[in-house]
Amino acid sequence: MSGRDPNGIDAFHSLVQRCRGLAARTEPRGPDPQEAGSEDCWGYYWRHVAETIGRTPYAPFADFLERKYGGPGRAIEILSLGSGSCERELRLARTQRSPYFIRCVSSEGSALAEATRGAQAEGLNVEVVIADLNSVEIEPGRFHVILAEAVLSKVIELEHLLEQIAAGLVEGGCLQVVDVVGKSRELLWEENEQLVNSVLAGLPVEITGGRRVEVGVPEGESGLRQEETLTLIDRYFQRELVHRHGAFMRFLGTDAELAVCFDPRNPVRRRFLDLVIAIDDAAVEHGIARPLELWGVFTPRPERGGAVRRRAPSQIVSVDRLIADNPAFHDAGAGTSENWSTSPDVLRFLHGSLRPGMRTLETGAGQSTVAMALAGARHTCVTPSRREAERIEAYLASLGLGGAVTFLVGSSDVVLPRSGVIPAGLDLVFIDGAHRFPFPILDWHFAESRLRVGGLLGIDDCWIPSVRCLLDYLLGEEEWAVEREFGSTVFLRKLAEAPRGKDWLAQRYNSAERGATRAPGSSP
Amino acid sequence: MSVGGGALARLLRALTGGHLGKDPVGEVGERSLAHGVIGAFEPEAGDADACWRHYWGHVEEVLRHTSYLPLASYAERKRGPSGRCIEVLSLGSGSCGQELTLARGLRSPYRILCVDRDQSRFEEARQWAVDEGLRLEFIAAEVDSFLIEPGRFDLVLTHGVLRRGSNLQWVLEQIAASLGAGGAVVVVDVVGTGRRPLWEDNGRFANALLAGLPVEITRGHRVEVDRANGIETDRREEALSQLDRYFEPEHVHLHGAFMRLVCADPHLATCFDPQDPVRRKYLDFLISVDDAAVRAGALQPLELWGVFRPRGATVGTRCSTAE
Repeated sequence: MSGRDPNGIDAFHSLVQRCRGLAARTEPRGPDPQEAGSEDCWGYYWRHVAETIGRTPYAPFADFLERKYGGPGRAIEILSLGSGSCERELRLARTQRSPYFIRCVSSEGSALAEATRGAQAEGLNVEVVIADLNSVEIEPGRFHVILAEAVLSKVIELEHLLEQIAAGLVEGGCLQVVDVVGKSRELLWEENEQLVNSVLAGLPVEITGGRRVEVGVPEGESGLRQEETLTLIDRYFQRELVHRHGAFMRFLGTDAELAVCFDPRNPVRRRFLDLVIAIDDAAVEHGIARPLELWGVFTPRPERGGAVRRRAPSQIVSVDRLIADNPAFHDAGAGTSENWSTSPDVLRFLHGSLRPGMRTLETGAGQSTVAMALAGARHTCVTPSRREAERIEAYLASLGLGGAVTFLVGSSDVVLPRSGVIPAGLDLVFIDGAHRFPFPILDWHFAESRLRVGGLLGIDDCWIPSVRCLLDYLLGEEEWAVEREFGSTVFLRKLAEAPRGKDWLAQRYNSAERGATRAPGSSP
Repeated sequence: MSVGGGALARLLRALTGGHLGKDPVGEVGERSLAHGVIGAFEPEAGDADACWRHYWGHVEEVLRHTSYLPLASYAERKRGPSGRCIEVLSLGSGSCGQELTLARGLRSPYRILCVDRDQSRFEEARQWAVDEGLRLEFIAAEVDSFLIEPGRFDLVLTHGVLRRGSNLQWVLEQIAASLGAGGAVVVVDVVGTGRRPLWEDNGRFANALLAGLPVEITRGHRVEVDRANGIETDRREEALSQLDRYFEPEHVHLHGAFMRLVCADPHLATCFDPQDPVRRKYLDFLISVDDAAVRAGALQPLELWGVFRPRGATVGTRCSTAE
């Protein structure tokens, strides 16, 4: 029963007409009446979402800003991250009644000129800057609202960005997120794909044309960490409003062919579009399929907001100081020490890859340990030498960084398997411990499942065969990609978790073309 | 299905001296519609009606937003201020679950006449009526040939009368004539435009949807159109036209594009047993999709719950003398 037919009488008469064979059939193909305007499938879906959001105090968003932050004598300060060509921000600026300032941070240089021209032409107080969101620095305590639309899913250094956002908000300020939070990389979970394709199979072929949703893997870093996004947001923020929706609609609305199949400008196709939207809603509501889309408003957790742990200026030490000091930490016998350090380039790379608060693990100890501590990482170092640990700790203390590293003294094959020793969600693992077989393999084995997708794995001394075999194996696996090489030190990025139960035949390391040889008498 | 609760109810009745304030049906009076419909539906599996009852509970929730449920309140309004006895006729009443609930809910004097061809289905209801002093009368008769007193009834309830089909014109004429001024008929039935093609479309969609759900839930079962019982003729097109000829709708709720097919299947009804919270989640999902399919006009509904008045009759209460 629709609102226009509250007693169902029209529906009944329509059914009677159908029974008598008098109802006209509407052909799905043919001229599209323009009664629904020019809205396409994806726009139609988002209007449906907007109806839900429209019932919250956050809509219209410009009114919310005015109510919450507007008032005489103060300007509403808005920061929009990943704003592309700033269309939304320019629209927002036009609707502001109170004084305002909007800064758009875009990673697309091409957008700068056009957006700046647009703002200047209309006299809008909008500034456009170009920055890499993985390393953006946000002025602390400045902004009332930070907008992150389709941003977090594209950023690798999420912790850094979220810390910056939390610190960048004024007290009472909020973060608004519109993004995808589905399966990392592919976005669509398997059960969602199964559901949507089953639904498509159940609809008339005149509507679907027999098309199905196909999931591809995006290129680059996009979506590498989207699975973690909401968990990480929760670490830094508390939820004011979270609307999770869209178990599969993105894959209908943004697929060129399927979007035509469900074109709302055709009344018959719109009927089926309404149905798939309702199925999507029901699947999310009843927990049948996980939602991919997030529309949320968040405020910083009290312990995070504006007070994110920052090192005091006196504690800021450049990695160049470490390189210049070139301290010796390793045992050389008779109580002396010597330096087996990795190259300065590796130290700089380690230092530059990390942000304060990132979690790191290292087997072996040395200047690399100091480099990661200098970067502000929560670093865990496994070394069998207590004296090495003490020397490093003393050096860090001399820099004002005493206690910055957690040392686990013992052989890594004993320490790492212990329950709870390796932190979860590691951002970087550096394997530079015992080099004899099978220690590099063991170190990797115990650490790699704790390394997050998108995290870095460093392997030192790859020229040694018992280390090289680990690198050779990883080079063949599609879950790993080389990020940087510094001589015999190689860094790889983890692109995905290896499928559970992946057997030896699926490992390229074992493939025939690699020239694997069999021991005499072994089974094929 | 035992509307009165079967052996357990009889045992309870014996233990409490033959009189319980409410029987198991009464205890779930909020689900009276479900029980009334279940009585007329009789799924194959012993406990499989839980699925169907859950579905009808959902339908009842929808109808509770209208002024037609609870039925007792609606019947009281039909009676008006004149104070005369409310006369209700139930055709195809089955085991009279809905009628018992109606009787318990009425505050004014009333008389409910239950008609069903199977006398054995009255047994439990008759006992409850005696125990509780409810004014129910029972007549075992074929609805197709049952003579109805003209102008007597305020409310006629029909369960599955349309789908029986034979002699339908005569039955509908009689019902229309049996209603007094302001009287109405509540129709609960299966409708559609030709049995197999329609049911196959809906069945195909249902099966595609089932294929999209985890096999741990569905166990690979699918709906089988031929298994959907309760349908006795292929003449529903004609039936609906006949209904439209003699009556005009006051309120119609068309629903259920495939839920009957799911709940009528004993295997699937178990797969979607609402007593298991995980399975209930999937059952509620199917119900939501079914609702959406009907609402969007993507699938034709199979079920009709409607209130109709005879064509030419005026809406209002019957004019009569006080008792």
